[in-house]
Amino acid sequence: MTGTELGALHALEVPTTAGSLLVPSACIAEVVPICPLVAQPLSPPWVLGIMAWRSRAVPVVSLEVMMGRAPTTDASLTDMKGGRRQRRGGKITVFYPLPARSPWEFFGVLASAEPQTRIVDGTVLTGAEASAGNALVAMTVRIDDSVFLIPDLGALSAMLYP
Amino acid sequence: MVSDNQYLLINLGDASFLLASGRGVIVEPRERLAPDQHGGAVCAWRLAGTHRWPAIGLDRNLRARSLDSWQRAVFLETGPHPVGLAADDVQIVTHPVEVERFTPTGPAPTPSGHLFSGAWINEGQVVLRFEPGALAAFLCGLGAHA
Repeated sequence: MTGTELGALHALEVPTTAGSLLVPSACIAEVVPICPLVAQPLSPPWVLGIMAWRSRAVPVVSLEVMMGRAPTTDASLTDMKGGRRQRRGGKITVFYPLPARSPWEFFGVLASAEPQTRIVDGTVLTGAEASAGNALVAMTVRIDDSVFLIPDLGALSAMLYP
Repeated sequence: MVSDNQYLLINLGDASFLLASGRGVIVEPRERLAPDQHGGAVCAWRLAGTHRWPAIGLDRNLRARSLDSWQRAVFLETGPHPVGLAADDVQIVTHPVEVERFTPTGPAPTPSGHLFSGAWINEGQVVLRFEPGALAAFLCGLGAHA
């Protein structure tokens, strides 16, 4: 893939301790502050809990843990009185439902810092390579000397909704 | 989505869950049940003729527990006999409840699927709604060796 093949793409950089994700802004419904989460009983450890968002219940996940890494360390998990869980610091990036999923299946990804918008085109994209060893990462790209992870949305969907 | 169902609000420790209060759901106070003396997942039994129905104790994370604090048990119809969930409290929700569809993430914890199929946002807090069939199957699994 070269820069000449790309048009300008509005994207969002979502920082995590496993690396910064780069996703099309059109995939993102909203970035919201950390809020109390209700536990989803009997869920895998990468499900951090469920948040109330626009009158919906939205699961919030840790991509770091999904990728087999340690969770964000500057956002330590805290047991809240009332059985709810909250993380300090960071943001929650609310994704629209993934392709072929039901219209209510929004989900949140914990970001370790405020996500940033970026316009990606051939003038800033200097390299792209296939993912090295993680099924959730489709490829990595280099922009302005920073490396970003492009998530494999199909693999992500398969893990979220097996 | 406004539901016509009447719901029960089930408290397990400091967590709350909804369950549709339809046909085949029976709520019994603790004093009408026979306590189990073995200290396992079964807290008590409801005697029904020559049969007895187990009431399973769960904590707020739906892990089997053996605690003294429960006050009521909610029995769900399933084969070969109903199975119950012992709860700290059970209340009838008397006002209309707007339950939105909700799909839990991750693998389903029971062969019958996920334990939740909807959620109610109550004053900004998420209350998950049990899927009755999956909950009954889950409880049967926990009480199978009772």
